[in-house]
Amino acid sequence: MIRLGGKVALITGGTAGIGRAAAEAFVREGAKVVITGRDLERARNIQNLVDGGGAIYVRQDTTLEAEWQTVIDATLARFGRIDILVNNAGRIIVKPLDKLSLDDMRLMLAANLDSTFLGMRTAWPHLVRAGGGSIINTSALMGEKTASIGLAYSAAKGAQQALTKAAALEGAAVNIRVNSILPGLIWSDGWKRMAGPKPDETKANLGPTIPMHRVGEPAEIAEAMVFLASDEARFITGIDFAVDGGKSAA
Amino acid sequence: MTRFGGKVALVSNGASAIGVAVVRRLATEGASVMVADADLKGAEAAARAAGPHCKAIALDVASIESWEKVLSATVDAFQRLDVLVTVATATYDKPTPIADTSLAQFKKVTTHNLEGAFLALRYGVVKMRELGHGGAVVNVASAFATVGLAGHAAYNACGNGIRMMTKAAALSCAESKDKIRINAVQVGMIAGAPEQAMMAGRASHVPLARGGGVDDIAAAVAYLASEEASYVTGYILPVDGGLLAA
Amino acid sequence: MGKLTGKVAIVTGATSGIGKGCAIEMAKAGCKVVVTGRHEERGANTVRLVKEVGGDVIFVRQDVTVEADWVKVMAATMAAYGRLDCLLNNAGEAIVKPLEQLTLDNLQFLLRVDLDGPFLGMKHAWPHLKKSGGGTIMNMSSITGQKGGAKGSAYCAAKGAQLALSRAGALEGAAHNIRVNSIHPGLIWTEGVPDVMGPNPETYLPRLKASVPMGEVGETWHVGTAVVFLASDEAAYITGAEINVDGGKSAQ
Repeated sequence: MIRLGGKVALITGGTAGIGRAAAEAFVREGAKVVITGRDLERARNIQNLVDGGGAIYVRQDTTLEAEWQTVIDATLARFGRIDILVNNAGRIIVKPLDKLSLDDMRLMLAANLDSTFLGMRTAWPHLVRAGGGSIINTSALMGEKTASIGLAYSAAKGAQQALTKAAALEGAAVNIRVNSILPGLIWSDGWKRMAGPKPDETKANLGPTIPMHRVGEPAEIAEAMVFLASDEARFITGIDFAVDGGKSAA
Repeated sequence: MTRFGGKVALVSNGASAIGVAVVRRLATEGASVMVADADLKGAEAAARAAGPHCKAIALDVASIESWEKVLSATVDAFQRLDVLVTVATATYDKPTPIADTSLAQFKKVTTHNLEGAFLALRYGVVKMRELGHGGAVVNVASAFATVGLAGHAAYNACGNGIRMMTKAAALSCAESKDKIRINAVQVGMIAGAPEQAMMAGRASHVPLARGGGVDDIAAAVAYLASEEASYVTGYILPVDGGLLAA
Repeated sequence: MGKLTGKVAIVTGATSGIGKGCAIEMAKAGCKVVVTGRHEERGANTVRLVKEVGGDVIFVRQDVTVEADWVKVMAATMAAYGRLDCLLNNAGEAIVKPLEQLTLDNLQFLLRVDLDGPFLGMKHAWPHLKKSGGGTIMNMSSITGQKGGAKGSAYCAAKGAQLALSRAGALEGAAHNIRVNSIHPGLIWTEGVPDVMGPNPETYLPRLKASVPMGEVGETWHVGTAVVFLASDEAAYITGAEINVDGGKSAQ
């Protein structure tokens, strides 16, 4: 079954990790996908999707207001409409409270909160024109459960989740559904970079901290995004959808 | 009863309706209070009304320099800092849908509330650690944090951002064993608070079927700031007439 | 004048542990206290401790799962003090076992104590609280009652149900000025801890402490002061809330 046939999706931060897995899953399900990312080099990761004809890449820094209009214009020019927005791009800083700077906090707010706000605001009229749509904002389990070194990131993700709920209430009248996805510990490119010289060992050691005793994979988040983007989730809006191997229950 | 006898408190946005009530409450229970607000005249009036052990100072909550100055001035004036209370007060001028909100409007609210609370925690905790006698921070933010409110997206975002910031800062202080506790009070439909206007005509949504007063917030702040709550940290206390339970 | 002067409270399961600590703190705040429990001797001990802090107190023997005992407790309260302002449903039980080893009897036992007990208490206290012009009910849960816990399926189910009862009670009570809140202690040191963990605290106390962000196991008075705040008119606008006293554990 093609669950996203005929739909056009915009996925930010889509050249790596969870975003890339989402782009693959969305294309597989029949969607046309606009993939954005800051790093031209990483765009090579999704060249297969572009070559397949189901996707295009647009370079974007999601914190810059002007670039949002460019991306939306490119989406409409290529595919004529927009049904799904995945605000997936985000940044993380972990530092003890007394080492955090105001610039750190501002970067967290710009990259996780302002970018989501800008994406929703810019896409909104086009979703309305399409007769409604689905917005998926990638938050994090850290937006709900935190740690001492996660202050700036948790605050920004918590703020993003509340923004999502406010948007869900506004969107309900125009058939725009807005949900948060809260990935738990997912073996994304970010984790791989931080994993040190023996990544497999690091991954195995992290497993027992999770009720399901393993780290998640980007594709497992992508499948949850497909569900939220699809009409199967047509009565679901404003939720915090944790995909975390049971971590949020503990 | 003087739970705050010999203690020193700093209240940011102390000239706001909730701020004034918190200042009055802490002072009544024995605290010396520094009332900080961008509105210096309002802060002076609040300090005067709260008694002879209170002083006022101008504060720009979004400025590092201003926080450093105010924290130093508080310790210079009273030799301690036991209690720090922040009150998030910035909102849109009127309810505004996301699609009609400019980035500038959005950021005006988040800068004041979220960056303001961040700077309070960041510099307030460091000052308390320097002093070494422990203390308590109470952040006052909106109950519309884990639930939304159409037309007030930025304010919602601040409510939950401050909620998470409170928890993380609490864990940081607990791990450091610095005897600093960090908690938050969530404001429901309270007369004088932004929520009053946001919920105008919707008192029936509140289980208690009425609004609360700023003194209800002040009482909760006083509990969390006092030694009575000495095993309570990282906790978010809703004062909302049952709103979040419904 | 104390925060609870002029008020009358019933505290169930007050013969030991958190209930005992709460009864003492409430008495210190000026509250008249009816303490209940299954054990006469331990009840007498709590009465002695409450009187030592200047409290006005009676003990009534009660099994919270037996409705007739609730009738008896209410009658004794009215006979002694003539009114009721506050009910602290503190009596509770816990069973920690893997799901496969849990019996239906285990679950039903916990539901009787942790759910039927508070339900019966609320039901029988209700008319008296209305007569007083309102009042407060507090149900003692646990931080485990807010989320899952391995080997805690029966306990979490019972405490989760109790939390829902508290919320529903808050909504229904609002019209009568009856506030209902749920209290969620973390790791609190009581005389019952060695019964579960073993007789030599020094072997496990460091581990328990390390599991709490504040690095300390709480004392019963820490819960008691939260109860006093909630029972007082200071908390007049707080209902349907979950009050955590856990040294930061639930913030993680």
